[in-house]
Amino acid sequence: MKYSYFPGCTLPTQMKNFELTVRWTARRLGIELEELDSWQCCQAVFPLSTDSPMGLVASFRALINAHQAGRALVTCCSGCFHVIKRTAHLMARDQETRQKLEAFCEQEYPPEGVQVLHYLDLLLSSLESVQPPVPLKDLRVGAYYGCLLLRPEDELGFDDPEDPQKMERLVRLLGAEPVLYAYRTECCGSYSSLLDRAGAEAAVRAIVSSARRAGAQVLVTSCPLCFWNLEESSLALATREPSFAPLPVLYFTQLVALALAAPDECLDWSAHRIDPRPAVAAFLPEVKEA
Amino acid sequence: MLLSGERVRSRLVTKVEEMSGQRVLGCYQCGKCTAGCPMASFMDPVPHGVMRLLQLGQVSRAMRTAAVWMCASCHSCASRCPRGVDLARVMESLRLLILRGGEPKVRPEGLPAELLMRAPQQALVSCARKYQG
Repeated sequence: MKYSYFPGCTLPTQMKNFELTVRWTARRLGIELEELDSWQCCQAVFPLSTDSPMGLVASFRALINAHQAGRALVTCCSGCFHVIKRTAHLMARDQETRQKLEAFCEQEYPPEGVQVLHYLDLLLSSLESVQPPVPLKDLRVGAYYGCLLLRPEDELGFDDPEDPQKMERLVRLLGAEPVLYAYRTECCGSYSSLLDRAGAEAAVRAIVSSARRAGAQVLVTSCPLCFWNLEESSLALATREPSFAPLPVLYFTQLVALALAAPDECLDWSAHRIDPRPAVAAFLPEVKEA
Repeated sequence: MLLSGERVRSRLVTKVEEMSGQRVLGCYQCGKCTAGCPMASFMDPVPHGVMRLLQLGQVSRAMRTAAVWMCASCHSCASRCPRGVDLARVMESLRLLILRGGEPKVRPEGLPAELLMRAPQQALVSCARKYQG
């Protein structure tokens, strides 16, 4: 089955470790992702006031483009998923805003709506019937959901916001061991870290310490902003507090790529400032000497 | 503070309610929002305290709180509120009242150059949209 793929602003540029493993895992599992024509940044945050429909324009256009291609829209970034899925939810319920956007964009929104999917769901169904060639045996993985993927539940409908299970299921399918810890659905501080680092650092200290106490060796996320905050704040904390031990962070697609024996050229470690390779050394592909 | 019906139901409170789509008197001050807020220790007053200010018609005071800027829109409060009040939307309306007044909280050119180089686009776009309006 073919899907319209919405990469978002961050994957193709600064988070190639995410993008490369999305594309490789899709090819390997026969998930056909066709990049949407002329997509624009989803605008990163969903507008929370009733009078700012301009914040919905990019996701509105992406939804119409996917509909015109006759496919469901798939995205991998928690931020894009959050904004686009909430826009689709709003379009089904708020006729006035829909008409405003239709008039502004000079495009009609399909009355039957557009399906918005997260790539994690596609991986879960594909992996049910695949035996991973490199099971990630004994790797203890702390799934970090954060906020954008889960809340508000009635609009996103992704997983239980207080006790999500999807990433843990993925970890199990890959042969690794999911670690449950208290702060897996807590916010990392999000964009507030650019205004005031203290808030994000406190949030990250709580998340990482809680995961470490529960025995996690790596954290797994689907959000580039979480990835960045976790690394940035962990490194800042570690320089000031010798007792603070950071945890490496991986995208969920990188974990899948490792278990499916992705070749070395698909695994870009250059975006990682906390090197995850020591933690996953047993599952890395052998690098051929030049 | 001298309270009156006029002050409690001021034009600005109505504006906050219109922009957020929330009723400030819906909150019954249980504090569950504050208990789950990851940024509450950086706020004074804390989230339910901001709601109390609004219930008393003190919109200008609510607009001067750190809570308005420290709120990361994570929706923990909204998803747990037993009264169904979406506090993230209330905070957004307070932010927008300030930003639409013409003074951005953050200007991209004011951020350190090395941070601009390192931060992912998602962080920069979110930051610009929340703190510039």
